[in-house]
Amino acid sequence: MCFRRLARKLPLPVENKETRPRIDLIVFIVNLLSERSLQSVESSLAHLHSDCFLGKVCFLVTDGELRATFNNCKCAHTHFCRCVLRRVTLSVSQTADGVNAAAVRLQNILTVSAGMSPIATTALYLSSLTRCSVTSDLEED
Amino acid sequence: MADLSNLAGLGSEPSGEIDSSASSANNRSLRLAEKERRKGEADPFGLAVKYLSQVEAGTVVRGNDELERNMVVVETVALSKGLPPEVITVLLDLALSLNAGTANCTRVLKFLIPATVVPQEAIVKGVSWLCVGKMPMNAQVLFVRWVLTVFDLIDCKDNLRSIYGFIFSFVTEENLCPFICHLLYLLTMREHVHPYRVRKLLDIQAKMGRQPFLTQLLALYKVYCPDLVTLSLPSRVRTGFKNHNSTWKVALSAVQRKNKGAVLVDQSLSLDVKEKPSTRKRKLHHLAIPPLSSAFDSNSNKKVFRLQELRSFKELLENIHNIELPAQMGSLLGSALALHYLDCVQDESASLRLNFWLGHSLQEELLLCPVDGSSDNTSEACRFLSTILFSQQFLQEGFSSTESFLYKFLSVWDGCLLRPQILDLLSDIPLMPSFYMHKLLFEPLKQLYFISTVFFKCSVIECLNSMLVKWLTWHSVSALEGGLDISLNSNSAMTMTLSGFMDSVMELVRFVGLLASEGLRLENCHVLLLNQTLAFYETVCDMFLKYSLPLIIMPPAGVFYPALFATDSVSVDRLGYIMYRYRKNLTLAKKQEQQREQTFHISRNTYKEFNRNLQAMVNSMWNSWWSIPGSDIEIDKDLIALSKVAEPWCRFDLIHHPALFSYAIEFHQRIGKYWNWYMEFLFNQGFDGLNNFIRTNTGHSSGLSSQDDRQPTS
Repeated sequence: MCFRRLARKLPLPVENKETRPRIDLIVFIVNLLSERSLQSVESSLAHLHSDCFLGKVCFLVTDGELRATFNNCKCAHTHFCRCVLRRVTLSVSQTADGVNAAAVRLQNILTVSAGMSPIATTALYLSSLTRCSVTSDLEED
Repeated sequence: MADLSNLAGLGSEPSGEIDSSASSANNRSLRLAEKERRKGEADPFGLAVKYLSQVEAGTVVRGNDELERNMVVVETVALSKGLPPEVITVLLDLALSLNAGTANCTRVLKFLIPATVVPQEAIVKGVSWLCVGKMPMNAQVLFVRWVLTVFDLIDCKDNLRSIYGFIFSFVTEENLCPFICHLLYLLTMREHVHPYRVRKLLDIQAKMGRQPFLTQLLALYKVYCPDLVTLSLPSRVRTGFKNHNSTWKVALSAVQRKNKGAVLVDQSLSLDVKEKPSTRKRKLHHLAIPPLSSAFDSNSNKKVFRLQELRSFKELLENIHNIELPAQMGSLLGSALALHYLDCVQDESASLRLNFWLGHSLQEELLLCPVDGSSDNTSEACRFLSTILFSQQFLQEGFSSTESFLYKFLSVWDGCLLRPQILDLLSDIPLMPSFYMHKLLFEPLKQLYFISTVFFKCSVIECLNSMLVKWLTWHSVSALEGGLDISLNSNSAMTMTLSGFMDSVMELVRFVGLLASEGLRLENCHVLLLNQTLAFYETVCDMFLKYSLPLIIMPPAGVFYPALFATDSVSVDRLGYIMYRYRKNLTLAKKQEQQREQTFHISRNTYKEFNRNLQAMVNSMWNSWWSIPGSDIEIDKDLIALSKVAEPWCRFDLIHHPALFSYAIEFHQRIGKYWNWYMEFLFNQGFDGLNNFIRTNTGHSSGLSSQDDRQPTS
């Protein structure tokens, strides 16, 4: 059984701590063009234990034109943007098909994170496979 | 009139005589009324044009109702049906001479939509009015933009080319400069490139800075006369000329669509993609391929033939030296005839222009203004990409602008949008050095691959397989032409040595090996993915024999063992075939190495790997002993005993293998116990791969002749 919880920011409220099941995956839904969105994500990241970043965190960018928005992103969070882009796993285009496809991919990540993949694969291993090891600055002349 | 009376005659036959006379009288009055109406209809337009042609300089405009009335008449006809050539001449003259006033000048230019052709004399006259210098600047700009918009409809451009110098002189006007540069870009031929013109352009560039339209024109000059233009220009100019046709685009396309029915278009030679009117407030180009304009009356005393006028291959052959390219290079993309021309003549300026147009369209439409939601937008993009695909497959090589677009697109792709087209275009990418492959191709694909569905994984492997096949085919063709230095596609300046080529191929195969083994793990050895992977290795195993590339790469363990222990028989058979081909390739390579001392050398590791795999397979399937000590799949005896399976050692041989067990049962039910007969039965089921494998590795023949038509047995 899979529980999904939405939260505006971290940390989660202290009250429900006991009844909360184990968290398998944390997805940050980011809009690169919105200043508030970036701020909120940045502040929430500080509340996460560093272990989480070994495969339990992923970023979902809701603006299909990643590079274009990144180029336009003149916010003060440029450094943060660069970090985000390196860890980005998903970008969603605004079509219905795109949203479906992103949902399926998210589900695949979740299956592995929750330890339910058919042949044992850890979330860490999966994140090492999908990690972008090259900077995404592909500016040409 | 005759048909009306015929109809009347036919209609009145069944009725009696009295009726027929009454109806014929009726019909005559009908005919007369028809005539009257038609006369009334045709006249206003003709009269209006006649009036306007006689407007003199200094005519009072304000309060001139008659002028206004006639203008409205002409305007209505123009926006609905378009104007015939003579009328265009008249109106252009009227507007640019400023006889009807300045306001009317811009007004006329705005509704000057041609129905068929624009006579070049009108344009020449227009340019001469431009030289008089009385027109206000916005009217001048509007005029030049109009010329650019209707450029493809001008019947012949020879006279325009003869006044190239006059047009060039306007380059110094700052407002006109972008559009004049565009017009010159379309008109320039080799004889127009002179040092003083180059110097002029460079002076303007020094004053205005590196403007894209100047760079584009200089790039074209450089193509024609590289010795005259010595400055270095970027290889790909991304933005070029400003949009010029926004004022007329909608009206022009509406008129052209209306008139299309009357003109013949040869469907077999040209692909007509209709331009859809924009329903949203987008200011950019459509994704439609601009239509290759239809046939016009061609008079034979023209010097150059327009590409869109050619109707047959024979005509192309006869006029191949006098072809003029259209203004919108994109219109060549769908037409087989045009692509033939591009391929044979190998005109650098044409390829430069085509790549520029293509890059610009792809960038604008798919990267900066992404496809959003609406299905007609997606299908438009789909059709556009399919046309590019068709052209690339026709020419059997990719365009460089498609390649650069794909690299940019991959980094923002979500793996879902326009998937089949993008993957097909991806497989057309030419060979590149291995460093770039990692950065541009492998990284984005990896990110998309591992968390997507199994069907996406299969599509990616299929795409990479087809890419490999194209690279290998290309190599085997160019290797025949001698020399180790292989240049990439015909327009590329990069050359690559054989070892560099082999490096790139090796990287690709390794990458697919990684994708396949990890993918199979994640998808629990899904049968489709396994089959796609084995199809890839069917290409890889024959690289030496089929494509003369001295490279032998074994499948990784993550691919080999899932295939060996697969539960479907097709995979096992394919694996048998692959191992059989590997053996053939290795045997031949070894023989050649010993005999002729070739420069290539198959490493010992490769032989070791192959032997290991071979042992594993033969032991499992033939010797009924799969868990050999020291092999990759050795499992502790006690652990196997825990599974409580009876006789665990023979569980993967030809009888007990999960994939083949059903056949064994069927055989047993039908016949009985005879081993040879079982073998024959099994291989009768179509397992040629396994048959060949068993035959060559164990020397045991099933008595069936196998389908080995590739090479004579060594």
